[in-house]
Amino acid sequence: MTDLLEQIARLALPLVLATLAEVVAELGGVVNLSLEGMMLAGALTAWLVAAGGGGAALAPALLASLAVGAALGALLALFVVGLRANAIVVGTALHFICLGATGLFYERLKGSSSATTFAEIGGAASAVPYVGTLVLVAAIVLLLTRTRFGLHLRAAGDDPAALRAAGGSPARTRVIGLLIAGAIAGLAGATLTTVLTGTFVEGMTGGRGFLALGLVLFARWNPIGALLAGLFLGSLFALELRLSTRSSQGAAPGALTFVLRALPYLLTITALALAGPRKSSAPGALGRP
Amino acid sequence: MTSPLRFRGIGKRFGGRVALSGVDLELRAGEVHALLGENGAGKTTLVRIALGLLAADEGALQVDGRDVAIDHPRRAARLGIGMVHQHFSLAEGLTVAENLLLADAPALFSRRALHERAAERLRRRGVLLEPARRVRDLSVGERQRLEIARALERAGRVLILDEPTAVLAPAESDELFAQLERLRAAGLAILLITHQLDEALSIAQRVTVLRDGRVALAASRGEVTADALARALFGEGAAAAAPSRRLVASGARGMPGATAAPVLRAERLAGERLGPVDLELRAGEVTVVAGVDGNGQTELVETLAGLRRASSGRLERPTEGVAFVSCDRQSTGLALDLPIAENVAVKRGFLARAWFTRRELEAATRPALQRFDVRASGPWQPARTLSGGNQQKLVLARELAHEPRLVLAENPTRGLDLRATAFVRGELQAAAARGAAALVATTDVDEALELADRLLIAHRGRLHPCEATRAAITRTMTELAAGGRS
Amino acid sequence: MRRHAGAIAALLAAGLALLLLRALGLAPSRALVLLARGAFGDAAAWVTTLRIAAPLALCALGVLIAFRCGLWNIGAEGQLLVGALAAVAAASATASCTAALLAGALAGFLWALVPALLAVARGVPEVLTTLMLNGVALELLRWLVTGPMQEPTRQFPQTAPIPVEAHLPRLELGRTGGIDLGLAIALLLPIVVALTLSRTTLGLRLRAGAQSPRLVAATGWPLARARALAFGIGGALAGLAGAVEVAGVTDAVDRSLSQGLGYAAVAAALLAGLKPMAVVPAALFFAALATGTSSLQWEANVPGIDRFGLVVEGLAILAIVAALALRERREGNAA
Repeated sequence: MTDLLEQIARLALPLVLATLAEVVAELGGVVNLSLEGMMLAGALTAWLVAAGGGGAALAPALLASLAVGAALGALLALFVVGLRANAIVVGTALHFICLGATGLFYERLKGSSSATTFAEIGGAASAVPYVGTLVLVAAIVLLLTRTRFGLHLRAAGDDPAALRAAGGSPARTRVIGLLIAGAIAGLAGATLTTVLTGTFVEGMTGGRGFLALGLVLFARWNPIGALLAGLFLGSLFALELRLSTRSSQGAAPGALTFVLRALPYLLTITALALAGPRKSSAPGALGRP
Repeated sequence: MTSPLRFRGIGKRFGGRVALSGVDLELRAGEVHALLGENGAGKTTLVRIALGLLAADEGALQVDGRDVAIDHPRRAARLGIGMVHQHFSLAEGLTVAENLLLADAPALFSRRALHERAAERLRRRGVLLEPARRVRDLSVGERQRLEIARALERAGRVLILDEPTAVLAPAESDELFAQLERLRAAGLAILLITHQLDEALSIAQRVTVLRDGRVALAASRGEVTADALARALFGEGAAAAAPSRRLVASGARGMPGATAAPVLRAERLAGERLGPVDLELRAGEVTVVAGVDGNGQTELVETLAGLRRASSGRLERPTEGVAFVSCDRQSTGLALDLPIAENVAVKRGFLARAWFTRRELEAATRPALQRFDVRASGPWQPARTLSGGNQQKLVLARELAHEPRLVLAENPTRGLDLRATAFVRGELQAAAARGAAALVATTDVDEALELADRLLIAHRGRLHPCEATRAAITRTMTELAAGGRS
Repeated sequence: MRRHAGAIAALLAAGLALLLLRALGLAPSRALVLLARGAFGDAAAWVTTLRIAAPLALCALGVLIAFRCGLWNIGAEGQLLVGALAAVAAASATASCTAALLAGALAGFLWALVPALLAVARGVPEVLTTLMLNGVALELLRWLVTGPMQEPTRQFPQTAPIPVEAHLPRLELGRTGGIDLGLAIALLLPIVVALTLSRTTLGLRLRAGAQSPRLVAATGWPLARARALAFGIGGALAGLAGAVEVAGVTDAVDRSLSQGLGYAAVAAALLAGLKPMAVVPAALFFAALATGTSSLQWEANVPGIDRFGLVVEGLAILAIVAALALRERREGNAA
């Protein structure tokens, strides 16, 4: 039983972080379509820094992923906030860039040594990612509800005019929000390398970033919701893994696997369809400058 | 007595147009001052000057007897001048407390501290609201109260309210006035911008009426009657009206033989902020709906045009041959990025087939464009580049070119210069003379008198018949206003 | 800072591209030459490039139609995949090329119709719904090629190859392969779309409705229905692209089908400035990038360079965005 729980937690980790990143971005009013790309960049960075470095290299690897993610967030902010360009277009473009760049580096560096994962170090260190994530979720909750910045960020995403009338700067607030979101996204990717596997494979995010875009809805733009949604998905994935290892060729499990994996997407669409035009807890100014 | 704000001889022009001229207005602490005027009379311009958004060309502003220069909104705030707009700037997803303290929240805080601070400030202003509620869940009246509290946070000596009751139900209006009375008693100077005579009479200590940028009347409440106010507001004796293109054969209209079935019939038609309304429109007759803005005219016209759905009642209207001239030229009347010719051809009846060449499009639309005198360098010019008058002519070209049976128009000459105004009015009359049934909603009394074969006054979503004379209009409006909220 | 954001962006884009090239050990000028040669150097190169360009152009056209109606279609990827799957099923059943193409178009149409109806009837943002359906399509593909539609020997995760009769008619060019009907369709349809948009009342009303929906509604024309239909047709084009992929390029569907073609179509539509006639050149640009970079990989022995094409796609979009923003800024200031 414990290894089922452990599996769920492990599978949930990148999703929780990715959803958390998107919650921060969207509360500020920006839909980040390049989430998937940012995760890939974070994963690659973590691997590059950690490969062959043993346990000691893990902390720097995470920091590096944070930095790379934040840099990408800055790039997104430059276009969406600075140039007031359409977030969908820029997000797609950034996604391509990350996809291509990570594939590029992967080709050149594949075959190099793998990185150590937290689990391999063993002992207390193996719990670090999970504890850390919980701490991060709590920290984001505090940031959003108990600081001036959090207040301004939520106002920027809900009604930028109101924030401006109150003397705040929606632009500056959003930029910082995107930096944070990018950093967390990079971290989400890093967990793929440093917690789940020990290596980097091209395209290893496997659509998790896009999935997170739908999960934000279920999380109701709430960090705790991100945690729960991520866990829920982690359970679905764990279930699917168990089913597929049990019988690898049967058609029934195949269909079930499909249903399980398609479920999050379908549920998101259903939720959207039921909610109608004004999603009740969505930031009011989502997608508007 | 201190005067926290005074306008002395304020004048302002925009290009060739005089928006304000020689306006004197004094606000006093502990007093509600009502500012009345039609659209375009200059109320908004005056207020924007006080808020530091515009600079006056002549005259001066005074605070406590001293001349001041208000060149920036922040300066206005520091001088204690604040405003509550018609459109609130509240973040809906945030709570009352969060909205209230958005401007000066501490860097770190606990929820309880925030709520306590908000509660204290609300209490000080006499506003009864729970800090923890989300703005989304508040009624319009409650949101307005929050806006008032916010405005007072920023600036606490003068409060300007822009048509605050336009969005409120009658019961909420009463609550608003009660609160304003409390604030007044506490020493605040309140400037209440309104259309509604009854509001001015019930709550204000002093009244100023603006008309065409000038002060038409300034008095304290005891000195003035509703009738005098109405006359000052709507004018007596025609202002220099532009010659209109009345048809020579004016006897062609309102022919007694027009006993044919009505072109449009509405029975107990009702919808949001509308009705119930009973209405019949007949061929060859121009029915004018007069009245101040916000009494259901837009809702009526759009429902009759088929753009809005009524919630109850019956509407018999033709499905073809309907001309609709919206008050919103730019997003309902035209597709600004499309060329002129395409804006015309969007409506059925210009193109014979489902496909066309450029030449065919030009040829199909040229007659209409010429007939309605749309001045442009060519039919492929984007509609955005036309002047306001030409844009409206373009709309008319599309709507009136094919002898409609029913013409529905709202404020068709708003924002147009004298020539364009005369042209548009002439065309509307011409359409009626050729047999169309027309309904024109307008806030301009001169226009109402010029066009009307039949006159109705809109008040709180209902229509009241009225004789087509200026005296009758003022009298009816006064009565409706005095009759209070129905 | 905000004032110069556009210039900074454009510079960053160019700088990044050059940096990457250098990091890969390539002089930019040499790289350009090799790229061009790889894409258009000889008949074989042309064929490969065109083979990618055709479905890409079709997809981009579909995306463009939606954009011109004022709706965001990010779902070309999924529409293409279901189109491919439907085409395989139809081809295997009927051994007819026409059936395969029609099936693909129909599948893409239906896949796009759901987001379209939700958007016009309930105001549900189609960006999200199309994106989600992409995910569903991908999972569907994964399931079908390892399950019900897997090839008979059950060794490879792909469908059985379609019957030879169902292949797209092809103009053989010797041993290098040939160009097929898909290309012809891809060249013709943009003309049809361009003409429909600009020379029919339908196109006129759709374009007007994208900007001023109330204007069109007031004339009594059923705008919402038409927009949904147009969106669906856009999906049909993407589905058709999938069918063309199957019936013309590959023979069967496996997990590596498309590989982001649907998203590249969005880029191509934007690069074409949403003008139908510019879609083919835009698609050619991206296709050339793909073929050029993969031959770079072969010739110059620069591993991973073919991924560079993706980077350039992204940078190209950013540059366009920056240029548009700068132009708007200038017009705004001049006004």
